[in-house]
Amino acid sequence: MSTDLRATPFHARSAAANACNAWETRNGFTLASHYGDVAREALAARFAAVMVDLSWQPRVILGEPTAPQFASRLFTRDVSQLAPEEAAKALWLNDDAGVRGVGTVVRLDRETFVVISATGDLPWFRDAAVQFKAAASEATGQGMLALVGHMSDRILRAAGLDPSLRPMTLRRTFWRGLDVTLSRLGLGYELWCEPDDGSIVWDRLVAAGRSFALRPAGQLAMDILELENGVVRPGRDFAPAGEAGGPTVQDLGLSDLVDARQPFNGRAAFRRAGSPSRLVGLVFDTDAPMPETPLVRNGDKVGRSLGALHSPAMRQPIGLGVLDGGAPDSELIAGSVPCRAIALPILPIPAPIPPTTEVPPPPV
Amino acid sequence: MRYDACIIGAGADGLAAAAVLAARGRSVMVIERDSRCGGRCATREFHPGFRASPFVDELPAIPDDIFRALDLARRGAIHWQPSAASPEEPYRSLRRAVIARAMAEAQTPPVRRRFRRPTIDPWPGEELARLSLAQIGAQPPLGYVGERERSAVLLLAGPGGGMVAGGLGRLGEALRMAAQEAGAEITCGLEATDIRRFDGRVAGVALADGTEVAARAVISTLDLKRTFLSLFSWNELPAALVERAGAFRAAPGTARLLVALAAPPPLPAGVAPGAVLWSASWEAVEEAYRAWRRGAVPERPVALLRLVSACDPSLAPDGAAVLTVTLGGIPLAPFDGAWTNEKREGLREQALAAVEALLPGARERVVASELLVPPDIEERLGLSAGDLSGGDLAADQMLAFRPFTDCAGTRTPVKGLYLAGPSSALAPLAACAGGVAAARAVLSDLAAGRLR
Ligand SMILES: Cc1cc2nc3c(=O)[nH]c(=O)nc-3n(C[C@H](O)[C@H](O)[C@H](O)COP(=O)(O)OP(=O)(O)OC[C@H]3O[C@@H](n4cnc5c(N)ncnc54)[C@H](O)[C@@H]3O)c2cc1C
Repeated sequence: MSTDLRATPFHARSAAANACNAWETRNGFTLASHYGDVAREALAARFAAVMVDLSWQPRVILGEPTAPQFASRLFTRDVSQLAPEEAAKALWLNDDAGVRGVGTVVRLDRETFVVISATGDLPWFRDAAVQFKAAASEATGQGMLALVGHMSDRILRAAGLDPSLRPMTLRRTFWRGLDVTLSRLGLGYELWCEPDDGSIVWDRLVAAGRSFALRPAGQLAMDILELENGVVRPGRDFAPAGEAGGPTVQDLGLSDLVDARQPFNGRAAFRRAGSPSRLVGLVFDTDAPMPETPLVRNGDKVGRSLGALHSPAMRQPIGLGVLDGGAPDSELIAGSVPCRAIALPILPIPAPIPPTTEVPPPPV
Repeated sequence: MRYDACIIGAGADGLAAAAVLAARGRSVMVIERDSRCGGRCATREFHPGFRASPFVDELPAIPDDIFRALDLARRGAIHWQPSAASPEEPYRSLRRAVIARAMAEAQTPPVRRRFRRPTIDPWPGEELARLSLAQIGAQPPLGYVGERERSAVLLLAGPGGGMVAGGLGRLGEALRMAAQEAGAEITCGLEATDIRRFDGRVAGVALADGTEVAARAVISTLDLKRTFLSLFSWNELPAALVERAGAFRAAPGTARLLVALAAPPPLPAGVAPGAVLWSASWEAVEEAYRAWRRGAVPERPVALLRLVSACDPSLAPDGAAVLTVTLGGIPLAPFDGAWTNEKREGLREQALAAVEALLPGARERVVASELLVPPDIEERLGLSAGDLSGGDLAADQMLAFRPFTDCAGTRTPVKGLYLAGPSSALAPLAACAGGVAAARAVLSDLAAGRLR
């Protein structure tokens, strides 16, 4: 991770839109925390759509002909089985099965993968690559703009982009003179662009989104949306492992991201670490407790809490937690705070639309 | 079967009451005359591709504890944050205190001794509200307030709860799910015609198809007049009660115009998407109010505009827009005869002129519009005088005086009958709260053996 402040390709536009002048740094990039009211930015994704600058997320490129074998051993799922332009969420572990990272692994072509995560971990990928005669490098400078909310499809269509794309896939496309990539890897769509094209991409989306109430949202609103959707992020929801030790897959309830039928780094330790636990959502009646607070049911410790935030849509603090066993939908105590454990996602986006019955119009 | 409670009306209050009672294991039957649940929590297509919530754009805010207990967000009711300006102190605290007081009284009824006036502490905020309302003089039509009566209105009319993603119909659906998943039964498409009494107390509800629902308690969410004057035969209740219900004053009527626009008009600078636009002067408000009292349609009706699709674009087709206009001071029955097509067209014209004045360029983009006048609202929602607020906002019709002292809170002079809905004390302050208060009163009275 570099220490000097960097600007993303959308910085000029983001700065012009940031009425609050509220900035923060992630991975060395200067980013808008929020442009106006954080709660409204998070809610706007549920009413219309928001665009969020994700260019700060480190992207590590794994290349060379041996990259498929390398990637297959590195991650907890066999990503060498992915077809080009497909992606999967996976973990990478240290030898003690400590979770070093959680990320999305995208297969760009036969010999190239890109790992998108919040933590990067490039030096570790580099060291590991040597043993496989593969290469790991950081993709720098590219812009990535997320478009989140149920109006996203309509906005993309209005902008002249075809939104038909399966989740966890991407498509490289030529968009009125620009080389861009459209993907569906997170809560909505992501539009990747060349460093110099950031302002054009931003302006085109703003223009297309005008009649769809599109607005930019800052990193804080994205944190809320991710938590509502049950996305765990190292650095925010837990401290990632280093060379040894650290939180195990079971500690984080991430067993769903592990396919132990295939070999991967840390598998032996993972198998020794015990039965799978479960990542759940927590909703609190009053203020959320600190992370790592024990969750107690009828006097027994049944798990612990991870990160928490206030959800404006739910009008209460919500968080993630790990249950050692037992089902969600139960009443627990976290520290001294009563809470309820619920299956993830806590509040999906886009929300499934309940069938509404129409009222007949009044007689004339 | 005999139910613990029968609830009349499946609007926000009725459904919230049903959910609370059923969650506590009580048997509940909700009777709704319309073919669907939700009451004013409704959204429909008024022109191909264009949708709006026909009666109101938002309810008063639902208190957080009720919103969470009914799990409304996860059931699909996502509210836009009410405007930052609305919850001001000390009104916010006062409103909370009023709700807490009503809930406390619902759980433990104040002791009333025979032959002696009950000594009851005044409700929080009573003095402040009386003071400020006394200064108003003529009551303003609901929602149209200038500086002068700010404090009373801030206290009495709670902040709006904000628009709901996809329209208010989603809130109606969320509440229906909350009630049904808790175990409440709902019958739609059947009107309650009478409240049956036996041995001096409520025994059940008679329905339009001639059947009856036997119940130990009845919660009416109909307005005061409908509840006491149309659900009982005229000589069945004490004359004083009938007289009191008859004297309850309705608020000035409202009309609604739902407008489909080919494209969104530019919003004036600084106007947040989904915010209400209005421009009437205080004089115009008073003039409209005076016209309404005479039974005349005001020459310049007070118009509140809302470009609802600017906040919730799902209501309009791609590139188009939906606008709602709420017109204040519109009489139920104009003095010169009922609402004719001609009068409706006249009002539509006035409304569209108001739209053009506030949003220049909007008029030429109008594709279609639908007008609802007070008799339409009365007919569709079963509300006396089409009065959406279920009674005027006035010193003698609020807090512990709403709808009147013997009915304060939620218990009524008729044993086993509870009042929620628009005429109840909490209706102006918060949505669903009146229903929850009634449900809590029923629970407490059932547990204490006060209901047989
Ligand atoms: C100052 C003030 C401000 C207010 N502001 C607002 C506001 O901004 N927005 C707003 O919506 N409200 C407002 N209100 C009204 C208030 O909050 C309402 O009580 C509440 O929103 C309505 O809920 P409800 O469920 O009782 O009524 P409704 O939604 O009207 O539901 C009543 C239901 O009963 C049914 N019904 C009618 N007759 C029968 C029958 N005979 N048998 C069976 N079913 C029947 C109807 O079909 C309907 O479904 C305000 C009130 C005041 C005094």
